[in-house]
Amino acid sequence: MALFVLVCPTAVVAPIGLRGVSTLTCILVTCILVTCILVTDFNAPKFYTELKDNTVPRYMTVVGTSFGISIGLFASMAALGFLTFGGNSAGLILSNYSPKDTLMGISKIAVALSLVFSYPLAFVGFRDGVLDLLKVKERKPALMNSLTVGLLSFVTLLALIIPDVSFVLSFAGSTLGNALVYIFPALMFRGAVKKQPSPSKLQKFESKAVVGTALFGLIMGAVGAVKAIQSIM
Amino acid sequence: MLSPQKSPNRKGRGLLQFPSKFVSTYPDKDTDLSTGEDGPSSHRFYLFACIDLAVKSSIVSLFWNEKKRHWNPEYSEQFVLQPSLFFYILARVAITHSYLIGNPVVKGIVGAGVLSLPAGIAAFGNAPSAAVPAVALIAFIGALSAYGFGLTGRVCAMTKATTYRAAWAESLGAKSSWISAWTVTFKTCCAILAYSMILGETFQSIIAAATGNVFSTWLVLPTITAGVLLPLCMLKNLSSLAPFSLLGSLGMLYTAIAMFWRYITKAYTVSGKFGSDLAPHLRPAFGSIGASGIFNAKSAILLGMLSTAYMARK
Repeated sequence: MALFVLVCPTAVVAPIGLRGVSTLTCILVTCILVTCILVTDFNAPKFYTELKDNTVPRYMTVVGTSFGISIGLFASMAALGFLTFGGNSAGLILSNYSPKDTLMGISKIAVALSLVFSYPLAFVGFRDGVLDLLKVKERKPALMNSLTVGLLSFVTLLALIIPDVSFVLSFAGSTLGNALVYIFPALMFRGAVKKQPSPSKLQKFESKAVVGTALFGLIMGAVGAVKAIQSIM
Repeated sequence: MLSPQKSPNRKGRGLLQFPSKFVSTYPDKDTDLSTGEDGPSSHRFYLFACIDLAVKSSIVSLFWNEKKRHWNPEYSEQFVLQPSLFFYILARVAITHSYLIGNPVVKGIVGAGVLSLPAGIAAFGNAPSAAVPAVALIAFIGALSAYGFGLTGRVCAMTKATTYRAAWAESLGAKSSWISAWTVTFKTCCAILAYSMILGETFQSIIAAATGNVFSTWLVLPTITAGVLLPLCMLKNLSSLAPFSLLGSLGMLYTAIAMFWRYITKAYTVSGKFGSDLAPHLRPAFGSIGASGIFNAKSAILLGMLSTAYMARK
């Protein structure tokens, strides 16, 4: 039984506070997010807003560079792991390496570190989401502390009483995750272009073309959902 | 090798003195947890003493900062930055290191999406050329994700929105903006639920490796949550954690370099340095299904992994 978990330090940007940060810092932080998971789209507004001299070209440079680095890392690690162990590649590739291999042992520490320190970052994203849903505008320290204790207790209790939430996680992840990455941005872009007083020809064309990425997201979501359902059958 | 016989003397120490009903005997030597070689018992004792001492000193710090004998949130950041907690974290890392390196069966402890991708390739092929379409698929999906990320930022530029919900409201209407708000909240809730479950298992295993006893997750997870996660989550400014997050990502880069080195030096081939260290099911195995395997239905497994936010316990 292997464990596949996409470590998800969601909403990292808000707590780190990227206001007015340089392009290089922004690239680094984006890499942190993208390296861990490719779902970062709901952080995109913060990235754009808090980028120093935030223009669309600068923002696209940051996005292109950071995703490029991360994709390179993804592809190289996937390929190297497979080329080393072939058909016996384990669900967690580090499991394949010898316990006597100190070089690889160090990398296991990095994974553990990433896990521990990503938790509060992900938690803040959840807490902000709840505050948003509750339409809380004034965030007093007492309220924030109470909410933190309450939500953390709630999640901890869920983690204890639910023996296996893999289906919910994989099903919701593949459907909602794909919606956030492919479908929602496409819909929002189409809506935004329609509301533009005088959209350019390129914008009009792109608003039609993004339907393709939305459809791709639907297919990806369907694949993920089917895999999730298959896992419980 | 961990031994159940050694454990009773070390059961329940200081703050970690648990009722015996929460303590079960360590699994026998045929189970996963005990298959690895562990350090000498004195080493485990030292590590456990470190963590115990660190927990105590952290709590002392907490009370030190709790001036005037009431909880003041203004001091939460100072507490977390106390050197004692730093020491605590280092102790935990040391134990993690000791356990993870000492135990070849790391499955069920921690995982990361990128580290599961080789298994995704292995699901549809077993010849080296299978890596070619896989890399292309990773790049393609990554590029589409980047496009989506860019698109969201451009929507913000057009609508002057500063949040995801606001961008939705400005482009598609405020009435339906609850869809994006609920999606984001539910998605992050799923993520931290997974985190909690993994952390519970991780620390249960670490403590088992350190003490020789397996404590119930009902004891381990609340303890970790209250002792470590809660103070960190109560930080007003989490920027102090940024260097650690960056360290984690740089660790991934290090991992890639280490994997490259092990590949080019052929350390895991039959005649390689570590070729004979592994169990048969972990040794390199190559067959004849190469790039053409991408047309196999099993390639959907890799697609599923790349399908964002896909969390699955198989």
